[in-house]
Amino acid sequence: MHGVFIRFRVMAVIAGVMSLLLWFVDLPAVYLIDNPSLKEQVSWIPYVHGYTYPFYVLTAIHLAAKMRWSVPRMIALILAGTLPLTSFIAERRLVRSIINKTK
Amino acid sequence: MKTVVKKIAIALALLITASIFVSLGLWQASRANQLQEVKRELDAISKIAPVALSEIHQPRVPLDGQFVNRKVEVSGRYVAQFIARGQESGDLEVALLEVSDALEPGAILVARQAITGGLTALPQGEVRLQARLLPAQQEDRDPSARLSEASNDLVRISGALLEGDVQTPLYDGYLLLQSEVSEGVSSQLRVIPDQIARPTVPGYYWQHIAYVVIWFLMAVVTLYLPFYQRRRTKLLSSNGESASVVRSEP
Repeated sequence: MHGVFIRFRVMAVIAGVMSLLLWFVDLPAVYLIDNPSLKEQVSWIPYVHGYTYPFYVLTAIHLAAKMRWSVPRMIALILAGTLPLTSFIAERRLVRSIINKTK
Repeated sequence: MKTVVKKIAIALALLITASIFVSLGLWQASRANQLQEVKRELDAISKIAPVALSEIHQPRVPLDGQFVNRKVEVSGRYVAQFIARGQESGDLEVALLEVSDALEPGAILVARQAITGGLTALPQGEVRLQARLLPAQQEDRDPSARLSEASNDLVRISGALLEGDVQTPLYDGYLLLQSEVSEGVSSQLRVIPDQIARPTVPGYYWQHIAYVVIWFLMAVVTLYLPFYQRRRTKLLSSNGESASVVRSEP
């Protein structure tokens, strides 16, 4: 259980950072700022975001299965990785709930 | 009866959702393929030997898409000079070349070299060029600059900006200079890095492939949900727990 939890936490942080970079660095550079060299410099962001998200989804499913969570809760966890900050929020809530449970 | 209808409705909803995800994955895969095809075509074009400009293009005629990016050779005389600011390679010196080796009189813009300060003196006599034929730019690169009598600035490299000011019929598109010979001597220029005009398929190949993976994974997850639910219910009942109790836990 501990390993599953750690894996989800790591992927939640990585997915959160990549979402922030995608929404607030890559998308403005591509669609708002007309600077081809900047666009080239940030072109790695969508790649990394695209390849880390499936791993986040797999860790979220694994965690939900281990915790025997309901389907809507698992879907909410998967979707949390798509928006900036929400994966951080999900990770923090999870840590808090585990701490409360062990008290 | 109600349970059967509910099960069928859920199964249908899941199948529809999964098929939407699969369609999105296939759409991303087709975009990735499009990008690969474009790359293959461009690679092939860049390897073709140069041809005379007059063989593939004429003044006042829209540039045929199949000749975009072709290397061409042309002779003529420079008659005007401009600066195109804010280009991908910085500020460029652009000259208007009156073509002399074509049956029909015409002039075409030539992106001649990168500049850091002002314009340099153009060769006075006949020049022979080797260049890449590119489509006219459609969007302003430097909206602050305006072509006026006082300024030689071009907001974008397009013959359309000179219509009315030049008597000679203009060619559609422009040339990106690769080499220039004037009176038997090669000009020493700050050559602009070679560029190939790319059709606008947004994104990158491996980015689209990543989205293919994501959408297909979502389809698999959707189809897995009923099995997940069944397994969960079985586990909870074997442990003597109720689903509602576990749902309320973190």
